[in-house]
Amino acid sequence: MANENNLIVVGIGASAGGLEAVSELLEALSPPKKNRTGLAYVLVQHLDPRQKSALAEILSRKTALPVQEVKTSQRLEPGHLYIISPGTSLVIRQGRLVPVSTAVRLKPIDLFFNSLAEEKKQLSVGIVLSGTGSDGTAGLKAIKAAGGMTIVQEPVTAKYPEMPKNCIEQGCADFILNTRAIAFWLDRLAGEGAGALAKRPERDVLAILFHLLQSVKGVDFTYYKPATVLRRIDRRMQMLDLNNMSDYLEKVRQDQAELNALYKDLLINVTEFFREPASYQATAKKVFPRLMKDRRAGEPLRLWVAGCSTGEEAYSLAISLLDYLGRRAGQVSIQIFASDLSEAAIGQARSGQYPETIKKHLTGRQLRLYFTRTKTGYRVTDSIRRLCVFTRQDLTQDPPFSKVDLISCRNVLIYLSSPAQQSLLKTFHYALKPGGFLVLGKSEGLGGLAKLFAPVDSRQKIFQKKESANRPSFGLGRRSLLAGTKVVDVPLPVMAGPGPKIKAGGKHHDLLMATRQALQAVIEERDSSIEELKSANEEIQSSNEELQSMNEELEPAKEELQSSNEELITLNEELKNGNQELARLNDDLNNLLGSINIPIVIVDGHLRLRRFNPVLTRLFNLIESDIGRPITDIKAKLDLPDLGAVIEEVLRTLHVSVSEVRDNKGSWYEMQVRPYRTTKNKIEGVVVAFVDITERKLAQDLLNKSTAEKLERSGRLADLGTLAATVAHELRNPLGVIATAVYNLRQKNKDAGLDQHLDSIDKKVFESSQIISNLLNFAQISPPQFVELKIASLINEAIEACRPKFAKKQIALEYRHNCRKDQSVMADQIQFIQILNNLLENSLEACAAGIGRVELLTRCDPLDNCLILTVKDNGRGIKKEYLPKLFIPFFTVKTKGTGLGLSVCRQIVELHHGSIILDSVEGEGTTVMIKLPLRQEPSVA
Amino acid sequence: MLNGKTILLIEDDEEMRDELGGVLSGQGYAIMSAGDGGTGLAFLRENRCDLVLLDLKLPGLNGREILRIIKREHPRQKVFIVTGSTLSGVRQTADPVLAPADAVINKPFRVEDLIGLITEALG
Repeated sequence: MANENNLIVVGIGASAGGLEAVSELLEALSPPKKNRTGLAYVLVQHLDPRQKSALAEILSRKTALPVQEVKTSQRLEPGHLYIISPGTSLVIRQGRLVPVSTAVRLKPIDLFFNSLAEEKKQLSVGIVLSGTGSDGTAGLKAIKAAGGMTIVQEPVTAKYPEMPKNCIEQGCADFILNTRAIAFWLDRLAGEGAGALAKRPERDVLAILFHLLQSVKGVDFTYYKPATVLRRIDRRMQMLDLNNMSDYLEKVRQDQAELNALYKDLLINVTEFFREPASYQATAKKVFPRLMKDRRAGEPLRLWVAGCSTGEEAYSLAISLLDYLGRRAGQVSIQIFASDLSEAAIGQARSGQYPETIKKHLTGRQLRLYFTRTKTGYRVTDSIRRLCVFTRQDLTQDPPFSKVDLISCRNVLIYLSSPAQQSLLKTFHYALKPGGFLVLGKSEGLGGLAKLFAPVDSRQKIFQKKESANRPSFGLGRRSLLAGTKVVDVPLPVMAGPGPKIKAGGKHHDLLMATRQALQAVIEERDSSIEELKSANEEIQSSNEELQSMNEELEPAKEELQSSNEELITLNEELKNGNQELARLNDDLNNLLGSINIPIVIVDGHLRLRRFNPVLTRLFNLIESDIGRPITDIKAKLDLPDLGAVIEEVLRTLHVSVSEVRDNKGSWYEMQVRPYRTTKNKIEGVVVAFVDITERKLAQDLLNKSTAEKLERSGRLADLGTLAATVAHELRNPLGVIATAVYNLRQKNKDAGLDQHLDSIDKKVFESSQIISNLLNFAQISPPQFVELKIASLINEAIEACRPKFAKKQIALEYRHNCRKDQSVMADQIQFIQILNNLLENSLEACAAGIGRVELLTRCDPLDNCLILTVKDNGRGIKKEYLPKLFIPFFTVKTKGTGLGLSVCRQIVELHHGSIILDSVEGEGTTVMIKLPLRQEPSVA
Repeated sequence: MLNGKTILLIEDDEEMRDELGGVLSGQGYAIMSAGDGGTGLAFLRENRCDLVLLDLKLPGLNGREILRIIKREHPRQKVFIVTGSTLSGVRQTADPVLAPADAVINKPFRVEDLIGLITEALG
């Protein structure tokens, strides 16, 4: 019962897609051990309630734990994995797992964790793995509140990071770890039992940090000198402004980046070329000659730089060896093994690239011989690089190299704790050939192991291996295989035991006995050696098998990686193309918008600015950074009462809105607001364009004004017409009476002296009559009655009527008709003839008798669809200053005439929707050109 | 000196009636005068005359209406229009109302022209 009460229950929560994470975790767990109580695991996963779950079956293959789907209430046993059954939720009640049937249970993880917290208090462990949604957060909170432990999968390692992220954001994660690290913790819990959890708050912070580093980074820093480690941690804490170690631990738990930073700091190694030059000099002087002397022909020189950091030490050693060998260098095969814990440092070392600053540690000759210049500094030459083999190696765990002539291990021991130093020195001793040399850092020493090495140069810390009976003890580190360390040379344990000792003297029997005993001892020893060899062999075989199986496992993984890589490349290619296409479209759009001289702005559904072209700044006070602001916030230079309302109306009705707006400079714009349609036919705002209509507006205004003027004028003319008709009638009657009376007077009085006066009266009566007729004609021009007129015959008739007058004055009159013979025009016959008469009359009057010449020309302009009539004379012409006034009524340049002739012509031409122009040069003649449309629009009246 | 032909003058202007009557009497025509259309029409219904000289602007019935009535009642009656109201000579022939008239004479006219026209018409 007590056992049961102490049982730690681990709740694991994941969503439907979390199977991968669950599998990883279970696979990483160590198999349960018989003498340990173990933990009870309960997996709560989101499952499809309608599907029968194959989860138990799948997971059975991943773990050695017995797996059970919970279908009925049952007691929790240690070392078991219980799985939720589809369509149910799990709770824990009085030591029993109880499936609760629920139709809809949105958060089964929270439900279980809550019951777990309540039931097991500080013996509860809640783990949230990959999953979507927020299930688990509330449950973890409850567990944390109850004193239990909460672990969340590190989101970057989770396929669906939402659930873990949510837990972290809510601050309910004690640890944020990947699945391997979680398994590490669970193993520890399984080993230490309830005690581990109960005294959790008091646990050594440093130990936890080491465990974190080991579980996450795979490096065991336990053997590092605590003082060194603490110094580094202290530095990190200062940088983070933390005073408390447990605060720092909390930080590291929550923040993987900080853990990485600490890891890097712990691995810091200060190094340079020929650091402690005296040591190199001593090595060259005292060690190299002996190595060369002792060397068997054809055997390579094997050197090991342990803790090589970024390679400077290894290359320095290579350089000093080559310097020493000089011309003999080509005859000796040299192997320099250089190893370090830090993969990054090894990478740097392999590249052989160094900055400019290294030159102060090297002689000019060395730089010339062994380095090539690069843009940023120097690179070691191939001749040096070829000598060195770099590999990652944990000196405290990984197997050493063997049969080494010289080990250079400077400033590594100082980082290690004393037991680790001792162990490492033993390893070195083993690795060296008989008589091999060991070079340590200036501040380092052999400690308690002075008996293994003989000093060669005590000041420069150069030692030589002494033969010894001690066999080094080291195992094949588990890590060495898993971490993929390049195993350059797997060392073989060497039998180096002392030979049998036979006591001299004594009796024969004694001698026999002694010999027998001695032999017996030898046999036993040999047997045990054989045993040892056998077991070593087995170990090697099993390692080999492990390697083989790992290799086989890796093969499909590699293929999978390759195919996903190809997929990614294809996807990337597509994305790149898409991106280019987008960039081009964007360029097109920008260029298009930029080159249009119409202010345009695109506004989203919330009236926020999306895009606009540069010319918009003429109308709105805005800059590029205003994008995203509501357009209603931008000051407009327009007389615009409520643009927002207009846009909202368009968004609501989806009808294009067109209105005329004026800016503060008096320009007019047609503001067009159109809905912005996406390719999916969704409305996501509006496009507002401002088309400049200032000129149109001005023209329209002018037109309106002139129309009004025309109307007014025609109104006045109509009045004038009535007046003129009345006046004409009223005047003509008395004129008629006067003329008749004059006639009667002549008849009755035959006085010749009176006749002259009566002639004057007659003449003036008819002149008056003429004036009245002209006035009447001008004032009473009525709307034309359009009929189809044959131009040529009509004009010929008119000319014939005038011909006597022209003949009388001896003026030539010619007519040419330059279009179809029967070409017709729509016109009022009387008004047309009136125009002709007026023009011919004017020309006749202007021409000098005898030399005058008047030409008429008619032609058609098919493009304008009009008739062009030209009347040209070689008369006296008109003064330039009079030309603008010619069409003004009552203006005249003649001594006779009313000054109405040309204005009558113009009025008639305009009523025919044509035009009349007059050109004249004084002394040369006058040309009048009239354009009349061939066809008339049917008039409304 | 009478030539046996009668001319009816329908003219509201008294001086015109007197002066024109004087001219035509001098030519041997018997002259009848009417100051308005109604009087003129009434005379024509009772008497015969060779020519009517008709003013267009008259009080009451205007000249155009009188012309229409005369030509309806006495289709062969010769009528000269004497007017001060019309536009140029061309226009007159285009005026369909005046078309039935035998001549249109604009005021002020040359008396000789008028006499010529009348002599021609009445032979």
